[in-house]
Amino acid sequence: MRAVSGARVFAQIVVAASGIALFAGAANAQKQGGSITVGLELDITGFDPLKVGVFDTAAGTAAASIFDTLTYLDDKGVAQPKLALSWSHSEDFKTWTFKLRPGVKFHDGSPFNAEAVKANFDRQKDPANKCRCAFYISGIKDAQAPDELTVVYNLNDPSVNFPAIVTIQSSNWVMQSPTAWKTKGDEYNRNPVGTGPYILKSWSAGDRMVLERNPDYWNKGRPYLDRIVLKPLPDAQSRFASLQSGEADLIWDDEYDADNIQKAQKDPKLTVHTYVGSGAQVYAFNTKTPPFDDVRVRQALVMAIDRKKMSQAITNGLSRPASNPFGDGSWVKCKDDGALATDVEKAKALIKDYGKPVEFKMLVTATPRGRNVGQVLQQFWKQVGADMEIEQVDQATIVPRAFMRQFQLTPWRIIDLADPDPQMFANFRSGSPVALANYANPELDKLLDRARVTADQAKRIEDYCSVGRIINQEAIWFWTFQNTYYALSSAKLKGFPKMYGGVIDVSNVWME
Amino acid sequence: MATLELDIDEQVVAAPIRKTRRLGLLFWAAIGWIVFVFAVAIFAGVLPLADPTAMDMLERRQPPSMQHWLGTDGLGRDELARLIHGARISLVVGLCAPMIGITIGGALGMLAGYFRGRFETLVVGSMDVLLAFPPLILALAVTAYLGQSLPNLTLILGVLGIPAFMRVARATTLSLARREFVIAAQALGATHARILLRELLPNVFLPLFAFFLLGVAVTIVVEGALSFLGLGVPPPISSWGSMIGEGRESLEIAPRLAFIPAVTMFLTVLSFNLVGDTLRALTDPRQGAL
Repeated sequence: MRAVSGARVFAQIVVAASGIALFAGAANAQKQGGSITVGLELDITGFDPLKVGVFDTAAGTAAASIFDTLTYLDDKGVAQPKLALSWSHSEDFKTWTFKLRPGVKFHDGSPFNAEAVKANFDRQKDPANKCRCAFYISGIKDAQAPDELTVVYNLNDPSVNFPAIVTIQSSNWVMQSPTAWKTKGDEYNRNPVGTGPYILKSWSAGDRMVLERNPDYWNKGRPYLDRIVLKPLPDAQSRFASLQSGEADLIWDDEYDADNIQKAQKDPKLTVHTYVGSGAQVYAFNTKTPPFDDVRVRQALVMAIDRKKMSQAITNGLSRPASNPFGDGSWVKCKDDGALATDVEKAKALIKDYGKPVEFKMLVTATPRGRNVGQVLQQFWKQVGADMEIEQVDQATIVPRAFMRQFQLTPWRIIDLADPDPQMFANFRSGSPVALANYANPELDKLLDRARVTADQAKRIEDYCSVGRIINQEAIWFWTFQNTYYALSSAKLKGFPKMYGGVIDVSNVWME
Repeated sequence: MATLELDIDEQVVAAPIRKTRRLGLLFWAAIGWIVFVFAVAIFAGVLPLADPTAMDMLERRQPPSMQHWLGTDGLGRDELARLIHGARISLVVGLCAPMIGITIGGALGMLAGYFRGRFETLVVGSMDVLLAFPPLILALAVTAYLGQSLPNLTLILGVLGIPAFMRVARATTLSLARREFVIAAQALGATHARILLRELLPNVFLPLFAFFLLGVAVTIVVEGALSFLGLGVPPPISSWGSMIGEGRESLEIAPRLAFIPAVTMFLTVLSFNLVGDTLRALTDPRQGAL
């Protein structure tokens, strides 16, 4: 409430709200009509945050078409207006006020307004609902709707880049119709209602989901396609085969399917869409358990990894080595990130210096890619005299084991987000539930605390680079590869945006 | 010792021998292959083989050469060395698991077939329960609970084989228990233990052993399937199933990575089947029936 009372100084940023959205894609002859089929890796389970918790990338693709978010990220990674027209913040970056677009309606005819935004937030935040999605909004205290078109978010912790964070098509930030979830109850999960450019027409589990053009979409002239068909095709080989045969126009892919990606690169009928996001594939040492309580062991293991060779072995060289947790896709660029260079001899010497035998278990996912990565790391470490045992676990088991610190070395992921703060703070600030390394360093805490309340980007970059240097030198986590996302499509498909967060967003594409 | 052999007249004994002669070449080829696979598996340690887990990451999926006779796999490891070390896993699991089945299942089956009554109902009932349980789910549950390792894998596959062995043992015992030599032994005052071990066991053992060889073949395939699904022995140890699973990822570029272990497994399973079948034909109780 304090935040809304006028006395506070609001620093107006960005956005001259002219009512016309500045969507991506130049104005060269977009073609109306037609339909596309998209092959996704996973079957979508549903859209009700209370039921599914968080959306995976497959659900994200559907969500990007059915729902809208308050803001979206443009090609440069800057937040632009979508359902919100403008926004402002308090001086301490703990209160964010969004002005909403007037006259927007959900597919069921109910109006989109501040109450609806608040209802979406409250439903996820309500402890009685026990939503797994609540973890990701734990930093937000509440949402208020002072009038029809104004929404105020009050945060527990400062966030300088909040409008960019709310762009992702996750269960937290897509706007769903409160009327629909109230009237449909349990049925809502598979009958989602949003404000988006496409309306769910039919959906048979495991087979296909058909989305039809929303004729009353608030953004006139959009979308271009009449119909989108989403199909789950879990097997990479058959997914690629359906793209080649023309059965699918666009497929999800990842670098572990390197053979097919490289084949598509040579095929003039196909286009390879790739996006180097921020973040990285990362691994956390539990520094409270031996042998990782000794920095020499951790450094030795990191030095033993030859990322270029590893990339060759697992992805034909497609994976891009990472030397910090920010990645090429992030605006945090460091001149010196203090990364430990590959040095087998030095690693051997460090292990020898440690004196005791280095034996440990590493969690890997029980998937072909998990096993490959595990075996390659095992080989590197064997060469320097460390003995790693692979413990294969189900993907879903990794998260609880990590939270309970029941691991010595676990894989993790720093996903592509518009701002480094949420994940860097959660992963490295001592006391956080996801500070997996169990490592405390006042210097690190100070830097993390300061970076999140600094508005000046140059200063933030400096702080984050210092954070990166400390982590690299102390080797509490290490990074192997950057997040690179892939989608393969027919060359006729145009207007495909950057895959922020690895989500294939087809809401604005057209077919030539 | 009054065993069944004493009761068979010469003509019946001659029949299976003729059959063996007809299957001769295939049978001996199968025996030869099994002996060969056993030999390389046992002597894998002393053979001049590359390290099956050593990777040459820049030499992935290389075609066969003097250095790597069968080329290298998807992570640059010597395919031949992995194949031979994989044979160890397949054979250890393939032999040990049915041994659990033949010991426990055979004992239960004989006891059930000999004593009949409540005990038989109980044993047959509980085996039906075990049979009704989806085997893959059980394997999943046990590996998830106990962890992946060679002994655990063997144990699960062994337990899953018990009902089949129990049924074979019980059926054979049932038909034998009412035969003259058993009644004669009972009339002479032999104890149950003596009848079971000295009179029945030698006769039950042969059909059970023939079935054991078929069990070995089935177990090798099941182990392959589990490893293919990633539920087998933990990496980096190779087994034929996991090699097929890993090779599947490069099916278009280097199909041999999946086909070589698949053909090896096929030949081995076929050999065990042939030998088992021949032995079964030799020891089929119907042949010996009077």
